[in-house]
Amino acid sequence: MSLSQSRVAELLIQASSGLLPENRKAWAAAMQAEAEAISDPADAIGFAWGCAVAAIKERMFTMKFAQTATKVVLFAWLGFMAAGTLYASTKFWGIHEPMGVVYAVITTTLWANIFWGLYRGPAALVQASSSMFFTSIVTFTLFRNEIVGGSEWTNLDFYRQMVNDFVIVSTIFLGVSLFLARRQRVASEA
Amino acid sequence: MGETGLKSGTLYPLLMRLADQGILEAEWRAPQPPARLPRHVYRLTGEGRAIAHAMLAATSATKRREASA
Repeated sequence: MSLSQSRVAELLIQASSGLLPENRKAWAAAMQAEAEAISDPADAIGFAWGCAVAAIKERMFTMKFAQTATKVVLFAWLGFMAAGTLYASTKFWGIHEPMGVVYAVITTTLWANIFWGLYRGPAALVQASSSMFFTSIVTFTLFRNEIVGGSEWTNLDFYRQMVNDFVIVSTIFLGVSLFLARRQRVASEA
Repeated sequence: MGETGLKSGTLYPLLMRLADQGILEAEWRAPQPPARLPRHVYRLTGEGRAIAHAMLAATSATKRREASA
């Protein structure tokens, strides 16, 4: 094995070892021993690459990496939207009060979801997101059937677009919450 | 691995799961030649052999049924 190829395989094995959880360190040593025994450089790199993939899989599914990453992204996303709607609410308040109220309600709902989810975990997120999803579907249906949102409404298209966004956001929120709740259940059963 | 075409990225997670479930046992063997690192070798446990035999029997029965159909 040439020095550079040997180094690539070595680095990949080192990365695998670093990624594997503490209770899997014997497996990291096994991977290293196996890589050392392979004489063909391409095979050794292929093997080491597979070990890195295995280590990533192990970290994602054993160390709840996916769960933690998803949770961080979800809360960052909710926080970003809550901050954005709060800003919009303050901007609209002096111009068009009903719009300011709409944004203030969304901001309050988002912050309530964040704190409730942080306090009670994925089950609370599923509760919050499913109620948001239900509300979004009801609102969407009301607008779709023109039960609300008559032609006399100012900025009707804007409100319709907001309702569409609400459906998308609440669907994503529900999907992610269900994923987190499922991961938590799998982890508790393991 | 060469014979089965399994990649290490598939094989190692499988080995870990099987070892966790007590189907497989692993041990370190002295290196051959001595300058190399010790090797990690794997063997089915009694329970693992029983499962493997049961699965082979089930596969054979399925093949027989398919052949006679």
